[in-house]
Amino acid sequence: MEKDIYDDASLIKKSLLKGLSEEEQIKLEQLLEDRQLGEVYDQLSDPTYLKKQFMEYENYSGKKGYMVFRERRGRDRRVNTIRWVAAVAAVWVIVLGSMLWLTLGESGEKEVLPVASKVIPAGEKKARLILADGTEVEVSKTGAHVLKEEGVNIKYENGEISYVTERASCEIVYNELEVPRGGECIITLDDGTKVWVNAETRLKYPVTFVGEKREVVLEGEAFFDVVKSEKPFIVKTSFGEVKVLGTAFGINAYTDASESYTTLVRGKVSVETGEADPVIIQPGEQVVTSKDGQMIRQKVDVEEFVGWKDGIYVFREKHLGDIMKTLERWYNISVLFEEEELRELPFTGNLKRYDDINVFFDALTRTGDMKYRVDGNHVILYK
Amino acid sequence: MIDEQLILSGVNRKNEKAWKSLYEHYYAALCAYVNRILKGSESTEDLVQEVFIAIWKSDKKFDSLQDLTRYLYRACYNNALVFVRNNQIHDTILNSIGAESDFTADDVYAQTVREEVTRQLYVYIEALPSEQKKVILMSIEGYSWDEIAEKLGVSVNTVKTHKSRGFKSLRSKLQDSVCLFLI
Repeated sequence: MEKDIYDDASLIKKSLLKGLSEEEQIKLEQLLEDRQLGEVYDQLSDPTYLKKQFMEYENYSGKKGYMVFRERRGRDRRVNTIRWVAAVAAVWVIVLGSMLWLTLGESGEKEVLPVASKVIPAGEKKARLILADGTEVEVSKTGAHVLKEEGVNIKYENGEISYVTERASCEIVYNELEVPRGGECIITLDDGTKVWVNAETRLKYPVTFVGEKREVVLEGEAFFDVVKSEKPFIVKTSFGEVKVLGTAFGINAYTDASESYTTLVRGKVSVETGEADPVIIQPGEQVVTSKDGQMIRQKVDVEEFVGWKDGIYVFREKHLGDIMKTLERWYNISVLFEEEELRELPFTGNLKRYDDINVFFDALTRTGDMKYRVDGNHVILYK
Repeated sequence: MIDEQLILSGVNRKNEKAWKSLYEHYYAALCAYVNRILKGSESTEDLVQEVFIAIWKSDKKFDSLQDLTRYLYRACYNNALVFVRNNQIHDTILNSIGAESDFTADDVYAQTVREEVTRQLYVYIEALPSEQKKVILMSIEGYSWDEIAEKLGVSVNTVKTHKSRGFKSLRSKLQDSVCLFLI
């Protein structure tokens, strides 16, 4: 029989207040066969116990609580951000928070230990650089190299690429950076703009910025720290364009997603789709762009969207399904949900980007809500 | 205070009035519940608020009052455990919290039912007309008939009437001494 807190409590309350019918009495007796519930029943039968409990309730006001709730749920989320960032700084370890569907009633599940699982390491610095003539260069963690391309030195070292112009050119030559699943790369463009390129992302950019504007093409996710200049810096994505002068912002624009996110950390950016008026946002704000060109501007906790570049994933009330989409790219895995409802579990917490993913799954397992097993680069989540 | 069953649909529809009632019905109990796990932490109310806010912001719909009640306790319980765990990692002074807690995994259900019974009784009493409520609360606090009558400035008989109306059959289980007077 499924145990239910509310129903069981109602039955006990009724027995205390009014007495029970014969049928209910039998039910109660069955219920109280549980030793712990029996003890609880004895406690509740003691008026001094109830008095103590009621007095504790007096410490908390539902009315006041509601006022705080109203204020908070509408409040600028940056207030939360500050607290959150502080927490991240102080904690800096895996923090598993959860609003998970823990099965309170079935106590045995708490003891479940993770099934012996293979370790899936985090992604690493890796990318492929495609030069103007089609030459492909693998960029790995190690090695320092210098290439030359149309009067520009391309240096790559420790997975970071930088472009330094030797002599000015008036011809636009494009290079392309392709970061695979499970990879990341940092690149400094010819104007000094630094770009953190996340997993499964392509960035196309001119070797030297020539002309009136600086234009790059992005497919996937990157964080830009743009050096200030007269020439506007434009990021083109399949969702539209982001125009800036000198700012720091993140763009998440995966072609297979239904929305893209432009999140501003510093300065000012303008997001354009051609379908609606350009939207200009301030630091701490974000524009969500949908495939049909519609845009929504909102205040956000920026860490949640750009934290990855500093090595931390921040999830706030995010569904496990969405979290997994992010983690699949970075850990180069595919996640299967045996029960669809697991996708809907909201989750709040931080994850260190360079930890192996097992740390995260082990934490999930400890909630008693799910188990996981690893099969190659597939991770299966089940109850 | 409105009937609890009426709260449900309003909670799902994010109706302000229903949410206000939800707070009146559940907030104090959930705070007391979390506080038992956190052992008097200042974060108790924050933690409970976060649970409510998360529900408000989610698209979650509850099928029944049972479903809602279960969810609230579970969410509070989970978040409280996470809070304890986090503080254990970073603050050895707080290490004893978990060990001292009277919550152990296998009696969480019983503990939760205890809280829920207390909550339902509290809500029941809160919903009584104010005079009856006073009498009942005072009698639970252990005042005698005479004391109650004196405090409320009414005759003992009135007190008895109020008591028999409101407390009708709050039987010996709840308050032996009081019931003696009722007989």
